[in-house]
Amino acid sequence: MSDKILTKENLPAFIEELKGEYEVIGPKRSGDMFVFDHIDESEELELDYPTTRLPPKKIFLPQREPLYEYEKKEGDVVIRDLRERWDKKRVLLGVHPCDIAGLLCLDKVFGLEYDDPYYWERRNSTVIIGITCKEPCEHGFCDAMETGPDAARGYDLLMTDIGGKYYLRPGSELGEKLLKADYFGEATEDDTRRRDAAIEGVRRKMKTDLDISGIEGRMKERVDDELWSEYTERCVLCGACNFVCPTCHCFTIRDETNFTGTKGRRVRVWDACHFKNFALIAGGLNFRGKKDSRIKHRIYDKLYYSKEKYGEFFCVGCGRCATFCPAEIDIKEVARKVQEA
Amino acid sequence: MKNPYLPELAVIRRVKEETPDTKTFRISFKNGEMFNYAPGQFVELTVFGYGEFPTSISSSPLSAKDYFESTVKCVGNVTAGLHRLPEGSIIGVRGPFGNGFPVEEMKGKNLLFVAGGIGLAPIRSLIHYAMENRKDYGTLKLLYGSRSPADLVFKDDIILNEEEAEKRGLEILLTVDKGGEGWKGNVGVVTTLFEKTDITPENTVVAICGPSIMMKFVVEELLKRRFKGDQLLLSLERMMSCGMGMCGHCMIGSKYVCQDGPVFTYEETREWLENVF
Ligand SMILES: Cc1cc2nc3c(=O)[nH]c(=O)nc-3n(C[C@H](O)[C@H](O)[C@H](O)COP(=O)(O)OP(=O)(O)OC[C@H]3O[C@@H](n4cnc5c(N)ncnc54)[C@H](O)[C@@H]3O)c2cc1C
Ligand code: SF4
Ligand code: SF4
Ligand code: FES
Repeated sequence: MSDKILTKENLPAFIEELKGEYEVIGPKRSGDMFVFDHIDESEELELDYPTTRLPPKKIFLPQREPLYEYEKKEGDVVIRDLRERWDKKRVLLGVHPCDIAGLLCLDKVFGLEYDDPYYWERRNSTVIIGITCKEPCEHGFCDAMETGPDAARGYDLLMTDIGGKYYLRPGSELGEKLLKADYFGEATEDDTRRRDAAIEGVRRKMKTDLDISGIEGRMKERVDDELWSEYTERCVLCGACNFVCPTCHCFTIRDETNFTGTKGRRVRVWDACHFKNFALIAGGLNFRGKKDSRIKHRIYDKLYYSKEKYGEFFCVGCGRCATFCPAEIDIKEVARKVQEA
Repeated sequence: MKNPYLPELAVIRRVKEETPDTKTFRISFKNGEMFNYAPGQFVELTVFGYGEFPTSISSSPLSAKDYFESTVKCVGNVTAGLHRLPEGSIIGVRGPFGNGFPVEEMKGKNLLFVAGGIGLAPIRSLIHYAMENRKDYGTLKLLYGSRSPADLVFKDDIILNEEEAEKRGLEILLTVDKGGEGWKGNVGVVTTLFEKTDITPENTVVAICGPSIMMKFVVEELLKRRFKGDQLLLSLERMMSCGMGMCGHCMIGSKYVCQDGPVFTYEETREWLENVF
């Protein structure tokens, strides 16, 4: 597979071409933040964004989605699958390496022993065009989690701004096919050097002071440690860190029925392990009734349980939880404390 | 791609009232398909108009393939909805889910069953399985406790019928928290039964299911009697939504009760970073 060059003047042409076959989704301004949204005009696209409010998981695991509907009819029941099927495939353009890593985590959750058809229907109909960050974002620590600032897999195309032009690296056959138009030029050795230098520049600026190696062992040792009490006191259990996290996948399934119960639909909605009733069972027994057990559960899931179950940390260092936490709890700081002697 | 969220339609073929708040439902698939499962596995039952909930399979996989049974205590919205349904009603079934009891590894062992309340449901499946494969297992002994004599489930089943059970080599000891008229048996929590019979760890595996606190005391008692953690099989209950390792509700530490369980040895739970009971 050979790398290509796209001058910035030709970006609109590339997007127009994509729009012929795909629905294009990318980072767009929304107030003082950025969000992934449908791109109608190429000017709306903001490729130099720091981070988005919600990660791209919202496209594959929407906050609320109907699973199926049913109707009782003359002693029988009819079920209709409400799985969303797009008429047009999508391109998700401008995904940062941390968020690409987040999608790879979700792929494991929704495809380990059972395949989740709602997730895969969308995932398999989406082309991922990543972009490496031009600048470090405020709370990100992808360098420490080894999910950035470069990406090795999980994309069809990966873009890097090398000043006046984008360096494009295909990561799949499909990605390579997208580079056929004549406005793409061959990348020279010099371009490749500039790409690597741009990414190294970001890495140098980040230099996150956190060594994650062996943290799972430290987490295990420190499960009853004093260090958790501080976070237990500060956290207000709003659940924001759960919802903005690219790897948090918990949900609840509930039924919405009409008044007589003859018709209804089953929906799934995002849930958060920080919420009080997350582990409550009928009869009133709550397995995580204590606040500290809920605070710890999320952090352990990121830095220990995920490693045990999936062989990888489910924190990709995107920094969103720190950005949105009203109590200013930063998982990077937590991790650093855990690693301290 | 098959959609594991869509329930298979099924018919309630028979409803048996076990106690004032517990019924056993005999369920067959509408399309006539057979159902393969192992003792200790569970299903997600849909009561259309109410919702879905996880429930153990209480029948033996060997006795009949064209139906299974689930024994459900009415404790909330969805279970109450199920209790209101007459025979012939259509419900939904997903599953079976979970690992079930390790019936192969248990071969050649003496089996001790300890159950409390509705916790006898998955154990009943296992007991029937063992009785149907009688030569594969050693002695069979059941210790079962409920709140009151009226709350004993499966009273009409051979597993609680002393004569029938004896014929099949199952010893039964019952207890109730609170006795009543006509009750001549033991009164006290299930661990008080340990004094009434011989319980030794030699070549024995114990299957335990019941309220969390009861399981905790049973395990403590057995450890005192020199049982090893890997001889104790716990069938655990947690909040569940998906049954497939995705929703996160059933986690205990890094384990997913719906997939890695619901049956675990006590030994493995010792490694967990969250309390099992
Ligand atoms: C593996 C397993 C096996 C079980 N086997 C049996 C059985 O054989 N017989 C029996 O009577 N009960 C069994 N239960 C418990 C049964 O699932 C709950 O009693 C039931 O979900 C209560 O639902 P409800 O709507 O009536 O109660 P509500 O309190 O109204 O609960 C609402 C919803 O919460 C969820 N929920 C509530 N409690 C539980 C719970 N304990 N576990 C999981 N989800 C819950 C369900 O999705 C339910 O629909 C089992 C639970 C598990 C996890
Ligand atoms: S835990 Fe925080 S920093 Fe880590 S991936 Fe989730 S939101 Fe990002
Ligand atoms: S965002 Fe902060 S305050 Fe809210 S639940 Fe997460 S850690 Fe607690
Ligand atoms: S029930 Fe959803 S993960 Fe276990």
